[in-house]
Amino acid sequence: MKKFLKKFSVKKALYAILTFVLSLCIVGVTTCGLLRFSVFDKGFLTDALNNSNYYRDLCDEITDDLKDIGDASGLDKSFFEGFVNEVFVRQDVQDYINKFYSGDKLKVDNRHFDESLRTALDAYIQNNRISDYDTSGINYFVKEATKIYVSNIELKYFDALQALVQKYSSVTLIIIIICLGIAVADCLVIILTNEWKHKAVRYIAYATGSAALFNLIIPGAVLLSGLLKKITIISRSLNDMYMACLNTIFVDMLIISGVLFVFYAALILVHGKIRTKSV
Amino acid sequence: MKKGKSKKNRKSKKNLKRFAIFPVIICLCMLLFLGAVLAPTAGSLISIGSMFMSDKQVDYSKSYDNIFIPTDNESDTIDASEVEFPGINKQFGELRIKNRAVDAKLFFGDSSIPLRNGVGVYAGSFIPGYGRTILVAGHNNTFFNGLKNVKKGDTVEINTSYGNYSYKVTGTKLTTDTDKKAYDLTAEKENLVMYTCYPFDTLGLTNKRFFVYADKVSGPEITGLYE
Repeated sequence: MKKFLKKFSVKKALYAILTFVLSLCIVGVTTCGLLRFSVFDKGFLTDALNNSNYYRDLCDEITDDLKDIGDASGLDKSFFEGFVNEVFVRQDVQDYINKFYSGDKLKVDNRHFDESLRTALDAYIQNNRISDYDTSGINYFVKEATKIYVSNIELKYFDALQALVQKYSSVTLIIIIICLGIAVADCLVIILTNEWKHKAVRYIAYATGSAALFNLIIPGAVLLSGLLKKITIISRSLNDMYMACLNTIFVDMLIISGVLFVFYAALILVHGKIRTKSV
Repeated sequence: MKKGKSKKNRKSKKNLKRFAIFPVIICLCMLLFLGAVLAPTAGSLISIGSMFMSDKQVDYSKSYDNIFIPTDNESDTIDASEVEFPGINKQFGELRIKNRAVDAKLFFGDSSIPLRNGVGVYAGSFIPGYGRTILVAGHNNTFFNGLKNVKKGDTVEINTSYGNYSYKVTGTKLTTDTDKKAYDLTAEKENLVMYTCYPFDTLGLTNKRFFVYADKVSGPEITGLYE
């Protein structure tokens, strides 16, 4: 205890606080930067949808659901083969994403689906020379089929996320600027107030190293614990999309961690060199 | 000279130790600090997140398990311990109405997998042998299309791995999908209720439902259920 008190000084405590603050600022910048280029970026989501084979899986899921309702409506299963157009699905999902990021009301435009379904039904009736049908039954079927299409196009839970994204996307930029400002000021204080510059480099290295560890621990823990595999989302396409998003974010965190570790190693080397010179 | 070198080595080792230990300590402090600061928000987010977690990995395959093995058990009772109770979306039997073109695999649960491959017992009702209501759904244009031909007095056969059951049709009813009086899940006698969409063989969807009612004639009663 005496030894500890002998070594302890207010100056050291202040530098410890400054190092901690610097470390927090680096984590703040990397985390907010990552959010800006991932969750808050439209391109990120579009890439995740393309990389996870989302559209093809979604078309299959819509087709299966429509076949189910077709089984209850006197329609042959072959009626829905190739009916769901991937081009329209892409267009509608992209439109939904655009609305999500622009803050507009999340609503799927189902007019073309409704029209193409009615056209296909007319052709089916003509080709199969069906006379026994009820117009109100057909209308009810189209209404229910459109509901299925719309609910599949809607990205589940995005309506709840929209408000959060709108609220925090601009805040992240402010946080980045503030954190950068504090980090620079912090570094300047550490460098200018230290007579021995190798000590200043050491404090900065500690902050960089801890930020690197922070960026390593969270994705490392999640990936190693197999937590992602336990996520239960009823739709395969949606599950794959969310997995692709989370995996990309965690891999990005690991890359950031790697970059910070390189800086950390460089700072250790610089520290060694400056210290040798000072000695 | 040697002394100076070893002193230098000791110092650099000490420095390396510092570089290994201090970042870990700061990182832990940061985790604690952020944990404390974000606890009110993170707590609710973790609770929401846990709703999407399951012990098992989700199975997205369209296949299903079949636990049905035909049996010739003709006893009047069977102990619950000998019955393999079906899980959701598992085929556990067959349902047949001779001469009425109804011959389908019987599943537990009435979601898309059962109804694509056969007919399904509503999971909120009971399985044969329970002495309660068995509510079975099927599509009108596939496996339950034959219900249109069913007449009072027809025999419905249900074969399961633990016994073979037969039920006698007592009547039919046409009603809507919101009619809760069309079946009684609290009935204390074993009865079979089969239903499908209506009308048959017509293009279009309606909210009308066609119900077929049948009472148990034979089949082993499951005993020791509540022991």
